[in-house]
Amino acid sequence: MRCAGALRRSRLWTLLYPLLCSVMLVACGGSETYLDDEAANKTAFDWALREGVPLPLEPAANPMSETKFQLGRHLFYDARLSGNGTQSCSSCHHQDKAFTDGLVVSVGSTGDSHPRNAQTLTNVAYNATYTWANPALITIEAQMHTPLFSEQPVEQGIDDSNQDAVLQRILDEPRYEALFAEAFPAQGSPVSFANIIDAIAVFVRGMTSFNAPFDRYQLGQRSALSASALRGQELFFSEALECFHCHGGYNFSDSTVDRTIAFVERPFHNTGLYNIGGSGDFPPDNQGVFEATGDPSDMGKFRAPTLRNITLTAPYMHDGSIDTLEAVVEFYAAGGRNVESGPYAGDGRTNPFKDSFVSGFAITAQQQADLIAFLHSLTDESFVTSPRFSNPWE
Amino acid sequence: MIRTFPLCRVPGTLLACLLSVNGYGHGETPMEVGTLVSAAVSVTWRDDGMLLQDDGRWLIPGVLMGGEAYPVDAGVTVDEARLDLAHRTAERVFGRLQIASHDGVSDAEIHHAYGGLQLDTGPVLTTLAAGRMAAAMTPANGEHASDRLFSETPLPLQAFLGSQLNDDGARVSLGLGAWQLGLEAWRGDRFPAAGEGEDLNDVYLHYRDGWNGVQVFAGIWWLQADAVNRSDTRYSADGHDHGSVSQSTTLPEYWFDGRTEIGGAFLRLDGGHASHWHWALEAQYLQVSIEGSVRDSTRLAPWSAEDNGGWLQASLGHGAHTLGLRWERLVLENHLSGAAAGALADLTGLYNPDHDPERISAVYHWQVQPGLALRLEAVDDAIQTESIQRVAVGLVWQAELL
Repeated sequence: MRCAGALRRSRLWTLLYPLLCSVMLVACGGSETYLDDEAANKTAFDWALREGVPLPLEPAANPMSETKFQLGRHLFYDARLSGNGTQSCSSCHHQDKAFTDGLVVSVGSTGDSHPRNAQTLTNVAYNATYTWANPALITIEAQMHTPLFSEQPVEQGIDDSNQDAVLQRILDEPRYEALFAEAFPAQGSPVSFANIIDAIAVFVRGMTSFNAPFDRYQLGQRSALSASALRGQELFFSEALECFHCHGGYNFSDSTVDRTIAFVERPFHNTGLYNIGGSGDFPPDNQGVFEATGDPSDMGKFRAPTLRNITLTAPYMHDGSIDTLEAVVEFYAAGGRNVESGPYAGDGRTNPFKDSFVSGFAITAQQQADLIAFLHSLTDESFVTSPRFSNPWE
Repeated sequence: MIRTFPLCRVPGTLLACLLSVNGYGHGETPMEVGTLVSAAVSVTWRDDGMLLQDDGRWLIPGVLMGGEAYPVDAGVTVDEARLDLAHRTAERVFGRLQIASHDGVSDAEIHHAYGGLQLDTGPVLTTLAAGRMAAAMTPANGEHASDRLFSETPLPLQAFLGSQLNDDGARVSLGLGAWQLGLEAWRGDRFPAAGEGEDLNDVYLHYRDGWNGVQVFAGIWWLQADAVNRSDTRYSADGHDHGSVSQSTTLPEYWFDGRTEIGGAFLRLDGGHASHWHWALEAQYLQVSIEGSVRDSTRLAPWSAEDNGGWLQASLGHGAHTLGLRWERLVLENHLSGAAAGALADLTGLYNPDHDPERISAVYHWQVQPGLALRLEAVDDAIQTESIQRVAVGLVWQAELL
């Protein structure tokens, strides 16, 4: 019997031994989280981001540098960078308006009207695509060919007939010699349109804006948002209003890319602004992604822009056809817009290609005021007054 | 996806133990011939609840939460309400149906709905069961607030099994004397598998016997779960409207793909029932290995984890009065890599700031009547980096209705 008992105890010990070792292991403690970002968050450039915002992508062919940023800033504000010497990038991108121009649609250097409203340059480093509706345009460098060289409509109006003269104007400016040399130190003759584009792209890419009251609230400053803005924030992120589906995330746009993103989405949305003749059509000069793809289901689809600094960027929508934020909220509450007469007549609310999130909602006057108070909290005053982004020629 | 049958991973020593002992059978299997209808309700008032995130979710820092791991809330909560029907024939055919709500969840659900039979095959008692049931690898997995000395679910079960592993599946158990070997294969719809129904299997070896008036119940077990698109459905699943999250709140969405392996060991000693004094000791340990990735709609980060968790519990009683202590702790080691490692660690709650989640509880349990007990508890809750204390007063009612 003693043998049987000893055997039984030894078998039980088979079960108990790992348990006792384990209890000791747990008792010792030592929780840790190891994060290896594989150098993705390494950067030599001062992006001035707030905590919690990932770094934007940086093209390998055009790495960020402070010297390129400063050169790009000079070029951005230089009207000599246009065919007739009258228009710079800043002509349509005013700092005090979060780098928009306040017009319904922008006007080029030769007087051509652009069919679309000037977009803000706020945080464009995070854009998954550029311009209002071009899924193929995914870098600032590629986008910049349009304002500099486009012929329909003419924007800055540089073409074969004047490009040498434009470059000569740049060469003739004494400040540029040092700026180009510092920005592109390995090149013997750095004044070229390729380098001009790279430098302006670095400047524009470096325009980050994450110091709004909303950001300060996110960082723990509870007084940064008013009670009304907090109520508006809850409405904004509610399933009832659906705003956040297209304007969510740290940049308030679903068309956002950064270094952490593995699956890049480049969505476009038809918000029901038009429905000409009930067939889903948009005005012929402004049909969204359809113009690039020819796919009927892409009719009227445009990129959801960031809502950061939105209070400074009126008028709104891709064609500047809505004047105020209040009217924009009413437009979404109605689930689209019914154009009752004229060449664009048609009920956008029933546009067959309309995004399902633009389904309309009921909202009281107080709720609308709260929602707009929240949108005001996305305004970064330091962005629109920062000397870093200001005109260096003044 | 490679599917492996768990038996191939059972250590040889484990099988050797099985083959050298005598017949035995236990578990949730109804053992008495006839029909038994029983009910239980556990209601608890707490002066404070667990610490939650700003959005109302309950996260254990460093754990990818899921299943039905709900926090306790302040105020009065029905920790459990259940109605149980069990039947067994003389031919050793049995079935069980249990409808229950637990962890403060508002809606009841079918918790058990299974049938089976026992086969007396010589020295081995073979039990077959299939249907919806709680996994039997550790007895703690099948217990709720009405069964336990403490009202709150053990922290390691909350963290690693989503409170309880309860799924549709089949069990084969072989009983030999004090030993029992069980194999369970599940449909894989539940945490830590879940998602798109991948492998979920476990194997266990239990030992239960009496020594000089001390009841010994010990065991070791191993579980494997594969998950694809597993999300945290605690606050979105139908019928699981939990009060801590506002309906207007939009919660972050993220998914886990990968394999979870859990090894466990437990010991329960229960003694002194021959006199007015009685005592019990319990130790449970879980070791978890996770290999996979976490992602949201745009970001992905490979993730591996080596976690440990366990609890020690002791109680001493005299007559209808019992005093108990429980200490629980998790040790969590996470490795995330890739550009989104930091962002996803924050989003998913996997970031742990060098903190070992811990909870110490004390209880006074008074069995006022055979079917009614009063429970007073004091809890030092250091699950989050900020610790809180709460007290609880609860009633447990249990009855055999038929």
